[in-house]
Amino acid sequence: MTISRRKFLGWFGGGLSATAVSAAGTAMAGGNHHFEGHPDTMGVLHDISRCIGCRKCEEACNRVNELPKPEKPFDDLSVLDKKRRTHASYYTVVNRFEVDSKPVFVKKQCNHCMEPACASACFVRAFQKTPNGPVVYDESVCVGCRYCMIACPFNIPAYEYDDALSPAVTKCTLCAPRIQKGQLPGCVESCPKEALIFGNRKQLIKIARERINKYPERYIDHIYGEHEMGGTSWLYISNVAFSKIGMREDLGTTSAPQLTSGPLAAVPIVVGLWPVLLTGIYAISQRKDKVAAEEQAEAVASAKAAADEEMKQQIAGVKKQAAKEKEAAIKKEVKKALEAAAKEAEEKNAEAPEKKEE
Amino acid sequence: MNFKKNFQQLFWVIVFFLIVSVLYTGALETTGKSDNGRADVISIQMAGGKSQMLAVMFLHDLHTASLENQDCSTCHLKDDDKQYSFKFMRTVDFDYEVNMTVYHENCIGCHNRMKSEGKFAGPDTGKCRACHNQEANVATSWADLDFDRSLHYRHESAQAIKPVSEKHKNNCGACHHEYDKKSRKTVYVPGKEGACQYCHQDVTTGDIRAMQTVAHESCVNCHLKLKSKRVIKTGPTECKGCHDLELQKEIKQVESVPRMKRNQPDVILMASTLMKSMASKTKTKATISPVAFNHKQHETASQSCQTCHHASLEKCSSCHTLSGDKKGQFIPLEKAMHDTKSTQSCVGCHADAQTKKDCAGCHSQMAMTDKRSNQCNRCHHMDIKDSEQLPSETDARIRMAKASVDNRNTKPLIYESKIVPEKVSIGVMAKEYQPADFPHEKVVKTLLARLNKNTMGTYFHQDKLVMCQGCHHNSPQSATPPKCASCHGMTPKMAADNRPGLKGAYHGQCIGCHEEMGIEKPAATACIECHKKKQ
Repeated sequence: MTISRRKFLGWFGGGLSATAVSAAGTAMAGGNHHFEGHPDTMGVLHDISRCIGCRKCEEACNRVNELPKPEKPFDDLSVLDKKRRTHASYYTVVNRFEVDSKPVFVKKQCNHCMEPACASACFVRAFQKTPNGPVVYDESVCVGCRYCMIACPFNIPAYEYDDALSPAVTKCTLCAPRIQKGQLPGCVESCPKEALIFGNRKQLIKIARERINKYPERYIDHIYGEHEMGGTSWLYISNVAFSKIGMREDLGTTSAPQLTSGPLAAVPIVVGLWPVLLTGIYAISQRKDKVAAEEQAEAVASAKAAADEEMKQQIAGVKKQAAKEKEAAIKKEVKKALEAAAKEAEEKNAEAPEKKEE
Repeated sequence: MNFKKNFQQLFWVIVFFLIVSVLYTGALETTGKSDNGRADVISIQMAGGKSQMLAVMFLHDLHTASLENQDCSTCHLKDDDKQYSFKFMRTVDFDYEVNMTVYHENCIGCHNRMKSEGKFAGPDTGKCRACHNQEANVATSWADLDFDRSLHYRHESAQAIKPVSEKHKNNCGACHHEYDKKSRKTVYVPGKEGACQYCHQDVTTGDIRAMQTVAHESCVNCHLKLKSKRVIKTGPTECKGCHDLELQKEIKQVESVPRMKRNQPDVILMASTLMKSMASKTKTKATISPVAFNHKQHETASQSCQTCHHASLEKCSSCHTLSGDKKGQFIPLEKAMHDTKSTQSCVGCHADAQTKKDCAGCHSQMAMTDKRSNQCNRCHHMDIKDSEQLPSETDARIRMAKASVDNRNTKPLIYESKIVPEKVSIGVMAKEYQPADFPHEKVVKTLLARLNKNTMGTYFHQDKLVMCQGCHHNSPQSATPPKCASCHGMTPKMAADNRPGLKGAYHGQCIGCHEEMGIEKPAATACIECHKKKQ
């Protein structure tokens, strides 16, 4: 390869920026596009100031989903002494936090994001966001890679580690079959304080705003889930700061699929463009070499021919010269010989006459 | 063999390094000394310079403790009146370079002197950031001192504080003064005493120096003077004595403070619009009944005069005119009197009182934005229909207002048993549990008992049907209010508005009240204490 380093870097940089521009173009297209959610998407509003930690929601979830009964019964409130997370047969948990020496209770479960990270991470589409609201799980296609557990910013999906043969990922289903039938999700129905209410997500946001405006000294002026991670179907309003009750406030408002859409969209371009580009560069540099080689061969051949020609001529000249010389030499020799012969003859003649004279 | 030995050495070196680094970073994070912090942190930053260095966080009490005889003259100079100037080693401020030199020379000079005497001292020249350490997390427990009526009375009645001259019987002039522009001096004017903050604001403006400067000059100098005279009970001379949050709680509170004598009226007739018409001799009808304000009773109900008289001792309507004036920050009279969010307004202070545990059961569940318009006549009830009915002399007006106040009924409320049902069985939603046997009369009696503890409570609930509205809300006042289920349907399938369903309404109202009033039994999660389980 006779391409110079400068030229190579130039081509490489050009290829890279072209890719970047096209990838950015795709990402920008994704960035301007703000998904407000499906129009009839349902949600649940959780009013943390109303929760008393009675765990009736956990009991209802367990009953409605026919989950195995836990060790400690649901009216045993001593489990609240430790913080818990969602588990294989616990789609939802209630945790107690002490804020300013007063207990605050928060229910935790899948937030059914508008653009879920789990659905984006799953390469077999086991998780799907339904237009109705719930993010549903199809056990039959799940391969058990657990990418969804890593992807979820709220750490919700749990795994049936105890099941050796066909473990599944478990999480809250927003009682999708029940809401199809027009019933309420199990937890919402059982909450005595109406700390959970179910309805159209847009309407719930209005209700939450109204409640915050009506009691400004009671609520923190923020609806958690309205914009977090692009918006979730499960909304929260609270009387204490969200960071004090185990809810992350550093998630940002971009949905997880949007964060990864840029680089992911760049993959086909990279895979498609770069081989072609690099092959092209290679081919060009190869061709140059080839042409150079051909030209060189031609030059060599012509030089050789010219040299041959010259040599031939020289040889011819030399031959001629040699022939001439030979001829001259022969002539000379002949002449010499003739002269010698003549001389001899003369001498003979000289002798002979003498003899004769006798 | 050699390789294994090297590896072992390396291993232990790494372990040692890890331990040391953990300890090192751990040590760096424990900056705070005590949990409570200190009250003597003074941030020193010269104005007008290039300010390339951070402010110095100077610990004042630490330095006074290190002085053997705690003599302030070590650092503070006395001015012409033999009073300490609490600037450092100067009585006036110079320009940036000179000020900086004053600080450096004196601070570091003293440190060097102490060191040469073999004592522990602060940083030396070159250790700049040991002092210029604004970002170091020194927890502060500094709090503003609330000079309330109790503290004022202790000063008022102190024998050690002498009157300004023989012709004054009281010692008010020792602190209270007015500024005479002609003589450019402060003079005591009897009858015109007011709070310091009426003139001395947060920052120095022109001739009027900042509150911080004058408060320390007046208060601390006087305390120091008395201390030097060996007066036993004198005020604090250290920062924490006045400003530490915990020590403030230990300041002795006088039980019943005698009324301050400032020629204030007992009762005031508030009728600013009618007064204006009277002054301009035009007859106008009263658009709202004037208020008879019981000033004497409110004096004991507030921390100090400044609670209501926040900018001056004049009447509210002199700055807060009907439509608003620049003097009153364009806050009109209506807002000044009725703003629910401000503790300086009448309604705001009353609203704040509703957050007490005895009241919060019902009141926390009512939105503060509601203007309960049926309560206007609790204050506006003087029978004056136009400006001509208003007496022109102040005394006559005061008598009229007093008569109205004396006429008010503040006797404890009593409900006859027949009105309130003894028990109500709530079984409309009974499914898992049996109907709840609600002890209605017991609840009403408890509420009444707690309400009657407070004359304001009694007065505002004189109309007996008002208290019923605590639970029987959003409906006309009635002795037979509608059932809860009339408006709260069974739990709705889809939430359409903020109105809870019946289950949420019952539990929200009952449990909410118990939580706010601090009632521990029945506990919120003890379901069977209110309704037994069905077998």
